[in-house]
Amino acid sequence: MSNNDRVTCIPLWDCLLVPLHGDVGDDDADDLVSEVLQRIQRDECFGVLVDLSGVWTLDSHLCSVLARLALAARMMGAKTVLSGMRPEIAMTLETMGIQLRGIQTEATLEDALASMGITRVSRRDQASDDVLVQLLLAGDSGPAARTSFETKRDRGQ
Amino acid sequence: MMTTSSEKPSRPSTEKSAPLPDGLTSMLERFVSPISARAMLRAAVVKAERATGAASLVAVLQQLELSSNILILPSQREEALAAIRSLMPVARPVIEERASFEAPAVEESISVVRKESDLNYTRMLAREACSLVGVRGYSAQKVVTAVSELARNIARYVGDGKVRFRIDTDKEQIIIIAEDQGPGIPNLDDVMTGNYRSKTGLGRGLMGVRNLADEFDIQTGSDGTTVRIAFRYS
Repeated sequence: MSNNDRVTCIPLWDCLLVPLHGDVGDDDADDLVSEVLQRIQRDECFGVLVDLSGVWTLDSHLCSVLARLALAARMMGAKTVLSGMRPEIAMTLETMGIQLRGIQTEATLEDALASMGITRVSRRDQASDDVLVQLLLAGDSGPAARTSFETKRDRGQ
Repeated sequence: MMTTSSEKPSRPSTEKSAPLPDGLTSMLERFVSPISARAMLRAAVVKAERATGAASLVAVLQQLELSSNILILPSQREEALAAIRSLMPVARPVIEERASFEAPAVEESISVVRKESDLNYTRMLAREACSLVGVRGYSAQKVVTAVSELARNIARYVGDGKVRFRIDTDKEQIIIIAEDQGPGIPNLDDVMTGNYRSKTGLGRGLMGVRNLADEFDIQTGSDGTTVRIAFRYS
């Protein structure tokens, strides 16, 4: 795995997060495709998240590279989602008449993660969380265990 | 060495013609080689005759001012211009105005495009041109993307060409000229109507550039292709 310094691939559970930034040269784009496809096979990823928030310019060539990447990844069983396209880039592509057919695009990285089924679980009730932890530690389950825990805590107080 | 005005007796001299001072050649030789100095002077005389009908001293000096922008090293240009102007018989404000008007036309950035790794530099020049006239956001993105497409066409299909950047302060335009001496685009009509699809999945590049630019002109033939695009920045 050499000469791939310019492409960052971050494993994220079963997905691959690929943040692109700056001026993505043609060599970088080629590296990107080969690196991502290798990682899909090696790490058994089912999703590729390409984040474009830091990209300066997106021209027809980079679009076609991304479309090729998405197509090849799909053949390998992985879904590709683009996220974070800046408004001026989106408007430029629209003016040029370039449509990213066959690639799912999302506004933000959060939305892209959600489309992969990865969502944030909010911790609403700290107390009930503690209960859960204690239950798991106790190795018990069901209402009986819950009762026993509460009893223990009551005793402690 | 005689000056070239005396070597051209065929053209009848008019009342505006005056013998050029001997010091002209030696003055030019301070900045360029003797051969270049003679060539500069000869060309200036011919151009002055074409432009004004006679090789008057003022007309010749004006031509020398223009050619000094090209032939004299930037570090010496100021000094050379001062030397040329010091020979002007009468300091006329009209001449100064004309000189300052024509000088910016030479101000252009050029990027030589041979391979795809040259694209980054070309895009950087496009960004610089935008920031020079305060173009940002979507407008700047249009310029840089269009330049990227044109430069890529040169790198991919020809392998040798140039992209020139000019800023026209009169029309308030960024002008970009991409030129090459390649074989030309044989199926231009298909390319411009969107019926063409290249092997790499591109083919919308030129059409996209036409949509992005405020002005678009393409000349293509067996001796090369020149695309001239302009973006307003007012």
